[in-house]
Amino acid sequence: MKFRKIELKNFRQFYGDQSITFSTNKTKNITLIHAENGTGKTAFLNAILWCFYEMSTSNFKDPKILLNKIAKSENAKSYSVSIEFENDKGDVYLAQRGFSQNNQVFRVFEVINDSYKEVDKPNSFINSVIPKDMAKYFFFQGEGIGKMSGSKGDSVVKIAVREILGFTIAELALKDIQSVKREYQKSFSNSDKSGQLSKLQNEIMSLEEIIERSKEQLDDYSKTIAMYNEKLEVIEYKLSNSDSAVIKQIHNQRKSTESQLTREQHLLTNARKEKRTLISEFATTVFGFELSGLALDFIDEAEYKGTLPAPYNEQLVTDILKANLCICGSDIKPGSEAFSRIQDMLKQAADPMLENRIRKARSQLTSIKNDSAKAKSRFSNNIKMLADSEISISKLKLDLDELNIKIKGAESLEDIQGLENERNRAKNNLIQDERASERATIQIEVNQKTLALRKGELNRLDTFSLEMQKYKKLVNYCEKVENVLKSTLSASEKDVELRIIEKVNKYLEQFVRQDYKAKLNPATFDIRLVDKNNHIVPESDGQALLLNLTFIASLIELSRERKNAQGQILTPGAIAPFVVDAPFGDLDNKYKGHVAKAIPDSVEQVILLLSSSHWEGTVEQNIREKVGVEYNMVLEETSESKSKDSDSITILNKDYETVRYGKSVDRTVLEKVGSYV
Amino acid sequence: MTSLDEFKQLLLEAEKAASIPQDKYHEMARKLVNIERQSFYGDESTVRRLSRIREEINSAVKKGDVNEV
Repeated sequence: MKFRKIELKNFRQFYGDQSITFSTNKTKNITLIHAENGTGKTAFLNAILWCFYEMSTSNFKDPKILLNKIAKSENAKSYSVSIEFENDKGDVYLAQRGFSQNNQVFRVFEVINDSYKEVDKPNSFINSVIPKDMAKYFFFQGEGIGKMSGSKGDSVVKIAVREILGFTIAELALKDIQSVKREYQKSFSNSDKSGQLSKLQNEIMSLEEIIERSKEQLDDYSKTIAMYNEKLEVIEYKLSNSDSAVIKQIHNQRKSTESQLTREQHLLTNARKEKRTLISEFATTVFGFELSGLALDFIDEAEYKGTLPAPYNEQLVTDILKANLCICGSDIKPGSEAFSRIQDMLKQAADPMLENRIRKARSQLTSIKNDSAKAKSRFSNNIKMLADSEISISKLKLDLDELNIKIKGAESLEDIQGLENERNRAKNNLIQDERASERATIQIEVNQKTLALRKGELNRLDTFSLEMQKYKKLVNYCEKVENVLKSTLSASEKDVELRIIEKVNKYLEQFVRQDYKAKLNPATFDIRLVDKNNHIVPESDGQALLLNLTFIASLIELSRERKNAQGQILTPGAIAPFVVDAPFGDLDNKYKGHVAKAIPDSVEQVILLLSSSHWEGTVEQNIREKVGVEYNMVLEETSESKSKDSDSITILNKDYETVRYGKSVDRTVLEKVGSYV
Repeated sequence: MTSLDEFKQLLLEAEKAASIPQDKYHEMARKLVNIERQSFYGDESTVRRLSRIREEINSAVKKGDVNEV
């Protein structure tokens, strides 16, 4: 999409009819608008946002008072903004928002051979061209987006990424499907006459709500943990690079002691884990050791020797005697010698089942006896390891306390003390949040297990009425759609993390002097600069702004790549003009030049609103050949100049006034100063 | 004749199409997002939006029943 023309009528300081025809040229794709402070750069940007979406930037004062003051004093009641644009196929449209007779009207027309065909549902149409959530990144207020890093950076970046991906709509759909599912769950409960199933269903609903809340809580903990970790990293960096050699040395010593402590704590945790494993592995051995000795003695008693294992099967011998018939076929009469011999065999006979059981018991008891020796040595080692780790940990903690006291005691270094206090606070908060996070994780696991059990119970019950069966199917269906939405959102967020950071780094490589890279914290979405050792670098104001601009450029690029995303759950991206108001703020001259050069290469059409301080020098040198048309915003004042110096701007060696005094009305006029296409 | 670039483009499009899950739940998720989009950017009331969502789910579940038979 490209802008062709904008017309402003009595909109803020633009009295009467004012217009700009933009450059739609492919190579000279910049429309440059020179405007000194206070002439109307921000109002111009807001005219676009108001026309398309009836919204404004945060730095636009009195956003509801849009009628020009002079026009109002002349009893005019109407103001409007019209934007003519073309889509990728070259179709031309005109969007018009106007206010007249206490009524605001927004209309969009398709322009075909100078005739105007009104588009049905203009809001939906404009949002299909550039969704409202994405608009603020294309129509961009240079100072408005805030920092990408630091305490508020997380939400800024996260929101931006989600908006450019069109998460807003998918998340609303998720909320709706969850609420419809709850309705069906309630209807299921209400249609249960026995009350038994509804009890189970209510328990499921309440568990689902608890899990959802706990997950949100866990998410918050992950963010704060990541934030404290980053804060600590920055403090560590500052302390490591302290001007004081003593502090530097003590701090490095402390860092190494802390690493040792972490290692020891890790060893202690492992030793404790091993202790638990040993107990479960050798519990029978330990508790059965005494018993095994006694039992083996009992089985080995001399009177049982020769009986167990027995040479004869007791059942067989008894059967022969009962039948008076030998297995060889001869008769055995009671009282005969053969009968007596066979009867004697009973003394040494045994039940084979019993024999088998005793054999097993003996083997088990023998293994317990053998294991006991092994268990003893492993338990002794484990106890020693636990004791050693505990001693090392308490020693390292004492060492650390001492080093902390030394750093705190640096009386002459107030900033170091400040950093130390900050570090302690961050550490304490980190520990608290880590514990809370562990508790929340365990709670979620427990509740998820219970939920699965309850759902299983409900599914196994087959006493549903027809009505209940209907609601059960509806609930199950909603749940499946809910899972699709959830998994799509989470997978897309992960994917975009990688793509955004790759793009930001591509830009940074061109812009930043030092060997710095951008790193995105996946928990907080905070983007920070890191040095070659992957340590966070505290950014200067200029570097922070540079990071902002590269991030915005990356978002626009990502949106362009997603333009043709078809049939997806997330909104397809948009290709739109990049309208930038005062983007270069704190950047030094070199950075300004680099950024100015990169912007027209990364988008199809650029509309730059610049004051002379931003324009003159490196910016002009880098983008001059890409400027298609050039305008000047001139402030016209009714007051006389008196002793004021004349204000002007030099464009291609020619001076143009930026302020004119003694005019008939106070207003801003848009004047074309050059066209190069 | 198809140029290499065109061929690459076709492959990319095929890959993209293949990567979009086509099961009935994904289809429904897409439908619901569209209803949501129309409501968010248009002027449809919450009640109307939720009722459209219910209609879609009801009809999909009924259809499922018929298919199962």
